[in-house]
Amino acid sequence: MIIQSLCRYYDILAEDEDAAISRPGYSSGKISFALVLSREGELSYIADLRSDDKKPRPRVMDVPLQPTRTSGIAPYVLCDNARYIFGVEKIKRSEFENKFLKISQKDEPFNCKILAESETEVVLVHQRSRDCFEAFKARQHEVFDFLDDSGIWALFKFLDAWNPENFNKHPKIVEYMNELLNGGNCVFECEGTLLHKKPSVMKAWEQYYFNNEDDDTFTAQCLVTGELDTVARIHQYPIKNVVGAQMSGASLVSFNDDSFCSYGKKQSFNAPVGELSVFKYTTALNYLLSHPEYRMQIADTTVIFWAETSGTACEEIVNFFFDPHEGVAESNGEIPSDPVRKENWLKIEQMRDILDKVRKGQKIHTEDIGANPETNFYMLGLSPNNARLAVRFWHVDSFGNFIVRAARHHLDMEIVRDDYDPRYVSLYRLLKETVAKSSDNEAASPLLGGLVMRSILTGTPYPVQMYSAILNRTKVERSINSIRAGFIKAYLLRLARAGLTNLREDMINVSLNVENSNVAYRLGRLFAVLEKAQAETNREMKSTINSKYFASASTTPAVVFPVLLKLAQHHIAKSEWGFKISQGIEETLEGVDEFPAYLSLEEQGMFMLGYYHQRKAFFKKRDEIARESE
Amino acid sequence: MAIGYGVRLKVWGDYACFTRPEMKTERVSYDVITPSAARGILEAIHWKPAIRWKIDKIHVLNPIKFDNVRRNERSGKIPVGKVQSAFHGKDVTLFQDATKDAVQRASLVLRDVCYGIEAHFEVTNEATSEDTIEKHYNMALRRIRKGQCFHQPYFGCREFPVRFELIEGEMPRSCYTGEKDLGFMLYDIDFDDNMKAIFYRAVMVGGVIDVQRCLAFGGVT
Repeated sequence: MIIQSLCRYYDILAEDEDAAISRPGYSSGKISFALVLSREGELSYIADLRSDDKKPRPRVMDVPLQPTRTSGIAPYVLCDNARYIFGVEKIKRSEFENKFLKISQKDEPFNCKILAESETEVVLVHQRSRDCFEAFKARQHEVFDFLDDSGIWALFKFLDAWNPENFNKHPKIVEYMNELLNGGNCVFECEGTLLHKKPSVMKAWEQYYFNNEDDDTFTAQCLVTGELDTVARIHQYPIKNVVGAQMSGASLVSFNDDSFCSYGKKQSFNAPVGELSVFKYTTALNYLLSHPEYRMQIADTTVIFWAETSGTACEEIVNFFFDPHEGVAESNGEIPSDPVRKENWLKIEQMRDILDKVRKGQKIHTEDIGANPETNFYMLGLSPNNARLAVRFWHVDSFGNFIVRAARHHLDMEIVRDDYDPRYVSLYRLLKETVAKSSDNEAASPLLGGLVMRSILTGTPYPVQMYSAILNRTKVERSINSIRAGFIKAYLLRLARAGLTNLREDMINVSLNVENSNVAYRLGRLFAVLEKAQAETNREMKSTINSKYFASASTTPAVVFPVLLKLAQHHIAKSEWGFKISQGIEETLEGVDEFPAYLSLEEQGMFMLGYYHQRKAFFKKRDEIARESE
Repeated sequence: MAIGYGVRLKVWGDYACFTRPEMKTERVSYDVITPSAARGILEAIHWKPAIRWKIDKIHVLNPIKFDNVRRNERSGKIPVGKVQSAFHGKDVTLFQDATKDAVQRASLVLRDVCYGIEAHFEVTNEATSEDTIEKHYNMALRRIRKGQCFHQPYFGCREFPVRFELIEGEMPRSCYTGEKDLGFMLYDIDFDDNMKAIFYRAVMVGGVIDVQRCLAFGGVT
């Protein structure tokens, strides 16, 4: 399933020359500097590999595998930071005082050498940094001692001759001292080639990597391939770029509490996955997470999606369907000149074409979406839980079905709107509507995103939690916008389609339907009429019937409406257009025999919808009048 | 080893979670019931040391539907040592403090499941001359018909109870047609060989997983 599909996708990417995914034995590392060595092992200069941006960013390169480092000393191969390569470390002054000065007051000798210090930081060589350097040196020897290569010889000469205490005496290092000590990784270069890119060096590393298995290997059936394999004790390549998870990365598969283990097994032996499968799925997952075209954010869930093909045509269009770029105004048929806006405009046009096809029930073809609709398509929602990742949802279908389902969602959400309202609403915006406007950083409920997503992907009714959240926000804030009205409409529409309510599909419209005889809908319209009557009579009022009665009118009409109608008589008496108002009231009340004592959740939605439609109809009329008088 | 007659059981429930071992901390369920879970249901109804249940076929009757739940669970276990000392009559507190040890865990579980299970039993070495096949077969049948069980059978988690009945006539039709590869799934645990997990490649044809056939093809070691 998830892991299997990721492994399969790794194989696809590995065959794709453009994809640049790490091979077994390698991982992508962030490199800041190349240390250029002469043949004699002298550090001749330091090349800065970072980008030229305002804030320089390290370059991403494939380097010999760098597993997670915890508290122990674990040097990497041919690429590491200053602590390991030079045996020097920079720490904060407060930390320095805590660690070293206290110890030195006891009888132990003061075993560290300060190379430079400022008010806040101290650069020093101490026992542990020396150990790191020695371990680094030993590891390079261990891997490459049998290799006859001039570059490696130069590296050995450099390391063997290096004394950490000479760090700040070296003229080349002093130039970059601070940057080197900030923790960036360095690689080595000799005679114009990076050591870790040399074919002979790579071969030696691979040989070492594949032959050097742990002594306590454990063989079992791998649950991905079904074959006998060496089982990974821990899945030690962290999954990065999941929003909200730890910076150093989190694990999809981990067993970090007692209650996760069964049958007396330890760690990942609870779930036997072969070493190669572990490498494949983590590498593929990290690849997807680090490329923006494969991912999006829905509330606290990081969603990645991929099609079982090379290239990213499928991913781009799905991304656009779930996260349409807002602020792309209707451009009256003109093609914008700005290239970015033009691209967005073209995508909106493409989306409109697809929606039209789905509306008419036509089949989606390859030329409509730029990829084979039969391709397998996957969507995985991950949400962070400290060091672990939880699977929020997982969906597998053909690419064509994905597009049709997503289009169905946008069609259901369609509602009369103003020009500046977004034409297609992103999920992010939709979920945002469930959160109180006054709270700045309160996120939507973590469950909602996954539930709504699942409804969209399966074409089933939307979750009632989402519906009641939207209704509640509407009631509390006493305002309804196109997104809320759109969702209420979509919810009721899907409910009606599934036959789970008395409402009929044809009663739920995109814009005002004066024929609709649903009582709740009519009451919603009536409320809008009454509100308008009041607003026209008294222009400057602090409390309106909307602010006082909206919530109660939408839940218990029998209590509120008689009062409101009585109030309206005063407005009618005052207004010069009084007869028009009473006409409007009569019209909307047609077919309403009595005010219901209370409205159910669905009827409340119809009420809001009627209110929204009626208000939009008023504005439209005013716009039309204004346009005609121009 | 003698083989007993087959039984056919219909099992259903609101929720189910057949946790994938690789996604066990934040649980993700397999698409369908595992043979070991089906065996567990049968064992809850009738089991004696003399018999061992084998699952032949699993009919997936309802569509596969997923749902999210979040539950408060415990992160630790009661240590074995404590249980042992309690066993030897020492005075220990043998419980987990719900307030101290709580963690919230998300699960992706199945909704509205319904399966038809075809199974038979084998007689083990523990059997005596009194343990005839007919006796155990009829005991099992009687118990299923009456709805009796040693403990409440469950779908993967104790809080997801199983309802069951004997299928005496036709097997109900599955909602699935065609072939669907469900990938590698847990078959069972080999309790004789250091609790080794055995996986098999589950393939559903017309809504039916022929477990024994899949086992023969599916790379059991």
